[in-house]
Amino acid sequence: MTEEIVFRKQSGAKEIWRRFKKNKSAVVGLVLFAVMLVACFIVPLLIPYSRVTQQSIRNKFAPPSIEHLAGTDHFGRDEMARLLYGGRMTMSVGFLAATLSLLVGGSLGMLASFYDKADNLIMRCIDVLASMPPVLMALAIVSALGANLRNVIIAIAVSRIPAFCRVVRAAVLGIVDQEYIEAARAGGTSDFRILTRHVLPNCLGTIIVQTTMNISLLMLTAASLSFIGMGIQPPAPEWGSMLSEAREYMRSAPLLMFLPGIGIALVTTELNLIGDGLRDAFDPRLKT
Amino acid sequence: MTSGTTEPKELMLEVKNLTVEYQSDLETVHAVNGISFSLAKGGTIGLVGETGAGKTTTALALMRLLPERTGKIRQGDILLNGTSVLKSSDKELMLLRGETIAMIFQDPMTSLNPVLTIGDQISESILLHNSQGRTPEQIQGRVDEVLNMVGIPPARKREYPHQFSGGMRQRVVIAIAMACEPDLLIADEPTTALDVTIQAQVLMMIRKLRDRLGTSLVMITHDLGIVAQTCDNVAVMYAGQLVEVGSAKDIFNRENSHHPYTNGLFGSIPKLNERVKRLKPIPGLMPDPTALPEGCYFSPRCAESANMCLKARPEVYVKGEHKIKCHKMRNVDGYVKEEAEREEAERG
Repeated sequence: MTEEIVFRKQSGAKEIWRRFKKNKSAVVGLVLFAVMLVACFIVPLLIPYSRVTQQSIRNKFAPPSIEHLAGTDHFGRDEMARLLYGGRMTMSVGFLAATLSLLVGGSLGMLASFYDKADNLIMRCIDVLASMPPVLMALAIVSALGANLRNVIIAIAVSRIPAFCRVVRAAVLGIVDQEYIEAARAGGTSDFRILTRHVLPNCLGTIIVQTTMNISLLMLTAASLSFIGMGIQPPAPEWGSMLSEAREYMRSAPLLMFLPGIGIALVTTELNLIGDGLRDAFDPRLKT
Repeated sequence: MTSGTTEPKELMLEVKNLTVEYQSDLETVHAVNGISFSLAKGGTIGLVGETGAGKTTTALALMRLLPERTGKIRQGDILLNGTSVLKSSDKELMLLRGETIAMIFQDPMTSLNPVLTIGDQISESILLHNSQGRTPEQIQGRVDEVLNMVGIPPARKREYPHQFSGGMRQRVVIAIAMACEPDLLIADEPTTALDVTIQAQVLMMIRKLRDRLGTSLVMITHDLGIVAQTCDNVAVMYAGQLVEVGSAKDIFNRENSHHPYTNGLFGSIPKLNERVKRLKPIPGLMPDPTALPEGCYFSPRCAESANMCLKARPEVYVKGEHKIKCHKMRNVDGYVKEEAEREEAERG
């Protein structure tokens, strides 16, 4: 190689970031999401947990003030502290469950589409799983295992495995037939390497969008579980349960319902924006 | 064919009575029906034939890349450097592919992974067959070397396939195939997707690389012009059989006797020095590979077909290196019947 040739040396991650930055709405989503992450994961470290649980019946439904930035709820607990701690809970449940679901469902889907023999076995098991409504299944699992944080995560993760498995299988099926996979095989590439290096990057877009959209769905499932008392147990705050508790006081104290609702809506939107941005950033064909 | 007449050369590839079928629930497709040929080290053979003659199936069988569920090798053997490809384990095959035997795929638009840079794709097979223990820098050096060889500036190795034109992509595909300096290169219609100018460039390059590295080459094509340019030996394929095999001289010499199908192929090419209003295509279509005719597979389309052709499978008649599988050859001087026992085995 000659000296004059200037390499456009850029690592993969840098390149993806450069392309991600071009998508303005994705960047807005990312910034807002970062703000919410800081608010829900770092700020609670500075607030004592007692503010979340300390009741003061005389002071219930207090309007926002210096002492209670978002007012108080129906037990006189500080709404702001509950929102922040609740966001931490909701988001962790969503992320952990989505990750678990993606790992299990995604790998099953990949195996199913790659190995003909495993396909029938795996997909029929997935069909059985999918035959139950996700919320109902999560409910059944939680009631069998007992309602605590870990079991809630497992339960809602299992309830979304069919969705992940099917989406990943469909995405991979479209790719394993491509000639470049055959070409890779002709070059002596092992199955594992073909899956991780050739197939996976090609369906990353689909997987990312599916995951970001599912995080919000999983958060909603967690909230539904809390609503019927099988999810995160009170007095621990969680956006879903706060929302359903506040429903009763919708007319007198609408703010109590709006705040966690807005929280869920914001996180969901941000995740979808980021997901769209990532999908485009990972696809070099859309490179500009 | 075996060049035993002149001097004994080492054989790179020997295909013996290869029979491949595609098996589905409803029918059996007889894609390749007992073909035999061999290729000396450094030699070139052209597999010529119409669409559906079984050329690509043969290539895939050579690499053991037939679709697992349907493609079955029913009979025969493939010897690569004297060892059987059919008896190799998956692990041995993985080592074989890329290092000893490499393939140039037909369509450069689909045979490159769109999300990996071309540099990554070229370095992959070097990395997988890294018996010399090359360092990452040396591997990158080799990538640059291969890119230079195919005439692409190494600075472009960080670009993605979509940033290259069709001809450039085919060069990348060739670079990938040549990266490990394979002993045998299978080129499956390497120029069909390209226009004539690029086609000439790519062929020239394949030829130059072959001469430089001493690679044996199996050139699969339906274009006799390409065969004339690149191949020492020619095998004409029809309905999964080799109907005529010989050196390029044997085949392209119009004075020689030929299989009627070969004559038909030549009849459908325009000549530079004659004015012809219409070309003469071979009438009819290739027989349905699920229901092959009883006699000679070419008999339904053959102008010279006799009663015998409809009933009995023709035998192979040999003169030197020139082999023809046709009944009419039995009366032609100088051609003798090939050993009867192989013919017997072919019928299975």
